[in-house]
Amino acid sequence: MNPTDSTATETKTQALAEAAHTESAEVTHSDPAEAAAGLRIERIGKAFRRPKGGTQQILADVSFEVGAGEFVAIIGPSGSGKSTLLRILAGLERPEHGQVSLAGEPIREPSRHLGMVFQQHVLLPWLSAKGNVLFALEAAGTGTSTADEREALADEWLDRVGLSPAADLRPHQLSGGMAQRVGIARAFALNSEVLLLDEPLGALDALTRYSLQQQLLALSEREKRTFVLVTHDVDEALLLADRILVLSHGPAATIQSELDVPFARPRDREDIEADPAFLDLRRELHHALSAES
Amino acid sequence: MSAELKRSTDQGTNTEPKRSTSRPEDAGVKGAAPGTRRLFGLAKTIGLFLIVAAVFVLVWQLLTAGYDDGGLAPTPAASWHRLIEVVSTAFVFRPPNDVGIVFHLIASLRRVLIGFGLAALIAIPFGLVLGSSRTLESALDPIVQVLRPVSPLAWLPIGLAILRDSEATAVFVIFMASLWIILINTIDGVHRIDPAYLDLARTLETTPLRRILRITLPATVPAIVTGLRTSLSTAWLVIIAAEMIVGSRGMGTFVWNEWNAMNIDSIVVAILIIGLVGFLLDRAVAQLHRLVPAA
Repeated sequence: MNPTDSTATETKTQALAEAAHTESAEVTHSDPAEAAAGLRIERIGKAFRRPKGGTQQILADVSFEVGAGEFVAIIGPSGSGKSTLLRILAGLERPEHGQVSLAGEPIREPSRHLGMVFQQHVLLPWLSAKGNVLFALEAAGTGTSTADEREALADEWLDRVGLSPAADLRPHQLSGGMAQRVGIARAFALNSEVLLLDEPLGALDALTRYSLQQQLLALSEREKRTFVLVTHDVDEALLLADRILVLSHGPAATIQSELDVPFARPRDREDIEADPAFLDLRRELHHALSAES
Repeated sequence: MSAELKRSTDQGTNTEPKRSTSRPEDAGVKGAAPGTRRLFGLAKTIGLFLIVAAVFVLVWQLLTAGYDDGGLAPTPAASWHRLIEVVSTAFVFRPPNDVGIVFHLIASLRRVLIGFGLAALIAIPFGLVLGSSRTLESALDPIVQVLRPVSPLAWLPIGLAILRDSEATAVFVIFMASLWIILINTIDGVHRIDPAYLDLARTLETTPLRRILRITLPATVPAIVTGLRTSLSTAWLVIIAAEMIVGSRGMGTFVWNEWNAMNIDSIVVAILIIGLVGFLLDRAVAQLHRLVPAA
């Protein structure tokens, strides 16, 4: 064996070891139990400046925790600052005081650890459905994944939300429900530990909302990640969440009450709705919401 | 699992792609087939155009008929003859005095496209950056606002003084005529981007360069194209005036030479050609809208 050969073998072994290393790192990352992380929200306060001067207190002293892998829903009357709270969790807005931390690390800027599903799907109109998912994967994953891997992941997630046939359509060719499913596929494909859902189904008609709730339920039970859902739909919160936080009526909204949702997983919508406990919880939540307004 | 998911979503009523609705004028027309109806509309439009054109030529004839004996103002007939003459000698090339209209046109177009192209190359990237940064924009806004209203022709002596070359000066004047319009439209387009796109970019931790190229630029294309159209029209207006002063060839030079030779009918022909070419330039740039589909 000449010296050149031995060097080549050495390089090959090294490459193999590196490949094995990358592979194991990937496995750890995509393992659902490892991917989830807990959120801690401590005494968040937020005020907006009024156009005429003075300030409007939106949130006052909001504190709660979301365990790793937990699904928490935040409900509240409209204008109570639910979306502002979620934007603060996402790092898109800064609170006046208080702190949000993810797995012990404070959040000050948006990061790819916190995925977001927006109320108005926010798809880029010049890209196809698949292009939008790929765009997110490229932005987040250049250097850590190959183009083929991203392509496969985008296809996989579009398939999971039932949109493979629509992959090449542009957002203006999609219905509201389809567009929101692309938004959901995009957020899930990113594999972030926490998914923040800002009234993702709020702009849809009742029938589409119903079917997308089913879909979100199945996805959230399969993908063990941490979820925070903002909604004004009591039934949606009861179907999806492990725990529901009720935000008080603004201004200066805070967590008014907290409710555990006892239904076992995997959940079945019809079973839950037939459960007497469902009606009790629903009444309790409606009461909590109306008592405030 | 995934089959189950698909079934649950197929229950949704609006999972069908949207279809374009039929045009309202096609629907609800009674008593005539849509095709006949459209043909009739076309005939009306053409008829009206012919009437307006005839009235225009008649008024022109009445206004210029009295000057026929040695007057300067050209009659429609004289202008028509000159048009035939200019078109038939369009490709004659015996410089310096006998140069066909095509070569004047090419000289003007060349200056406009170079000056306009350079302005676009500089104004679009600057506009994208300035529009994305409040600080930079505020700092440079006073300069833009003061220089923008200045007639591009005012830059002509400056151009001659700096460049000492009439050809480069004409390009420079076109550059100054195009620059501000493209810059301001681009900045304005950046300001009008849906803030949700920028939120999306932030949650994806998009790098600034990628954000500008993949979100800001495509989202701003409609505003940029508007800026390009406006500035190209302005550049085409300005080149004629600039060439009257500095050009050795070009549509402006042609107009000026014909004026000096008292061939006013040639100027009527030149106006027609300048107008047609300006129209075609605008149509060409408007095609850039196709780069990005409507939202």
